[in-house]
Amino acid sequence: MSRLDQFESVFKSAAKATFTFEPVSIHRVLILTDLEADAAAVYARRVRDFLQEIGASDALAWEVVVDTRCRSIGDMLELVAGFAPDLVCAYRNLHSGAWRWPHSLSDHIEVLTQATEVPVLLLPRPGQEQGWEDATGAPFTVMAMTDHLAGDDQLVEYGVAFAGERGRLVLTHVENEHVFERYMDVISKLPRVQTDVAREDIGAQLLKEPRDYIERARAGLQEAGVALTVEAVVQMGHHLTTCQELIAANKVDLLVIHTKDHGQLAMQGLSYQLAVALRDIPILMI
Amino acid sequence: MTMIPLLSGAAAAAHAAHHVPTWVTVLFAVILVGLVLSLALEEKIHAKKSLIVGVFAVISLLLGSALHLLPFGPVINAFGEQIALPVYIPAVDWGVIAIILGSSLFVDVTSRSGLFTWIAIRLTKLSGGDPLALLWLYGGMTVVFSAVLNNVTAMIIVGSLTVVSLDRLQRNDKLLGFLLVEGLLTNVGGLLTLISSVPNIIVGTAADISFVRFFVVAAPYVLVATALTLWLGARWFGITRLGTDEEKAEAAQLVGGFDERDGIESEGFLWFAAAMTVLFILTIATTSVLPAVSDLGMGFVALSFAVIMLIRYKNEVDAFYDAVDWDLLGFFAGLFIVINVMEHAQVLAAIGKALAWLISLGDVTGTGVLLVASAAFSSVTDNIPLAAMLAKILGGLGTPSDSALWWSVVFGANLGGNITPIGSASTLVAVTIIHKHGLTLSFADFVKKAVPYAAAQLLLATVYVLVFLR
Repeated sequence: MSRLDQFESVFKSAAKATFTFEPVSIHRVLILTDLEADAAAVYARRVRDFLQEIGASDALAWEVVVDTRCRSIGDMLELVAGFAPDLVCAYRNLHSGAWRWPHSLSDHIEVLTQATEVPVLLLPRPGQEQGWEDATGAPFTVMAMTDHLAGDDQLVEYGVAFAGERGRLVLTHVENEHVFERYMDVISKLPRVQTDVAREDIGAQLLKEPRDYIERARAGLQEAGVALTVEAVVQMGHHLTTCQELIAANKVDLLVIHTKDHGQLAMQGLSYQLAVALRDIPILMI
Repeated sequence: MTMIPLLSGAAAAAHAAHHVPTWVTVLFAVILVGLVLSLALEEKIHAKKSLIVGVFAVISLLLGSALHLLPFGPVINAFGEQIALPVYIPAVDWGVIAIILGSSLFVDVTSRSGLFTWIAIRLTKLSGGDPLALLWLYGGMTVVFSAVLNNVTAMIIVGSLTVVSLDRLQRNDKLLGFLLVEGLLTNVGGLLTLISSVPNIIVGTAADISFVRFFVVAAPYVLVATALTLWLGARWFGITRLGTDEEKAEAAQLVGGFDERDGIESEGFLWFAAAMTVLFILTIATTSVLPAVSDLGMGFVALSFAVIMLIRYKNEVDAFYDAVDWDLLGFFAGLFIVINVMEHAQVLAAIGKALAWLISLGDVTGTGVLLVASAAFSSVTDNIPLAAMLAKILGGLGTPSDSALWWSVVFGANLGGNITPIGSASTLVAVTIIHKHGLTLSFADFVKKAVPYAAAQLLLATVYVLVFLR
């Protein structure tokens, strides 16, 4: 029956993840702050400028939330549900004094990303906008990063929406090398599985799938008349370190990541690590 | 196909007229029945065919030697030279072994080019994801692949594609129907040419039926039986066309995601493989009239094409040798040895007498009963021993090559495999795929679902043989 498995593998490999482009529209934006009204207005203006500069928003409705309106998480969720935004803008350690220590996101942000379906644009804190200030330079580079890119149309669509027509979209798939090596180590102890063949074939297939998907996404975007530059980065790596190196090497202005994991209540593992560690650039968490 | 006769010198002549006591014939007949039953219970015994038949070959040879049935002595080859060969070597029909070995190697290397997967995925896309169109296209593909390759390979290719494409189309509820119909069609496709199944090779060779004649006789039946099976399959399993334009667009998009070029390592080799496949079929079809080649036979053609294809992978040919179904080849070798001993023990002569009585019932009854009896026998055990035994007996009775009796054996042996899941290797593959994907189908369930198709096919075959071939 080994040939049955062979042919099934061939056909499964030939069944590619398809890409169907559905443009993202952002009409309603909610800006959450823990600032007083004046400071909140200044911050909100910068957010609007940022979004309009990169052409990511033609929002018709803006709502700026000041300190007192969402001190509790319950209030915040009610506000989000009431305004029904397409995008929520906020920053780390909202309503928390922990911003002095770069080790967390704050309860507000963590619940916001998990309890609502709305994408959250996590911006540098007021007063710490160095990376954000730099971000407005052209071409605007958006990196959509994941460890499971094939079939993730939404990640690409948000990347496209925020890169704008003049931008550069870097579709990035980083396969966890630690996990891969762990399995290879186990395989090396199994006499029935040829280690060299397994390493070569599994490694190649893991990287082939996202590469094929990027090709399809590129073709799909071209077909849809989206003119931006799409680049591919597909490699093995040690997650956080490799991601940080790739972000620096590609001069990334905005990172797009998934935060929801349907199998758990907490934020997706790698996304949490990236969101905590990468404090200098805006991160769109979908 | 011309075989090089290896004659067992003086000993053979002596043994031809050798008197065998009745109790010896009965003893060997019991051994033969034991072999048939063991093959029927292969799944229960948990032993490979080659080992089962190997055990019976060892017992038969030992008893044959002890009871002085076997023609030991020098062997005279085609050049009139005396050579020393173990008695069981000339017992094997090496022409048949060469065809199977060469064809399977050729098909394996050709598969590596991506040709068959390319064809299969193109047809999937052509269906636009419509279930009924998919059933007809996959059904047609099963028949053609069974005819050109062999029915097990055809079932593996089409069955695995069916699983993947129905899963993609979210039509897993139709998987059982698709796989069952495809499994039943492998045995219909296996009737199309002389090399489509082993019973065809054995009977066709024994009856001296040419490739072209075999195709001309079998093709009309295969065409009608395929259409009938697909029509019944679509009705009984509720496989219908998609209703709305929305459904059609979604299905087309899903099958559009298949990339037929995915498994292709080299475009040049793909085209070479396609050309070689066409050439292979043409050469096999014309072997009997090709100068020089006709004397070497179809086995030589199959092995030569395999060698040519293997040149592409010259430094890894051992991987293809590993993939050869040695169990099947060992099975054939052992089977030929058992049958040869049975011949010396006069068991085949005894069965031949019963068969002669059957034939004497008249043209219509004899031919019809032989077809149905062959099918019944094939449904519970491997059809190859049946074909080998009946071919030998019919040959021994001096049956002319245009007799309908040969076709009764061909149709019965092939179609009998559709009655039970153990009746043929390809239906067994279909059931294996069904079980692998979590569907329950017991032996009785299979029989219940398959018998109406098999009955329709056998009825059609009986009418066809009696009306057009008698």
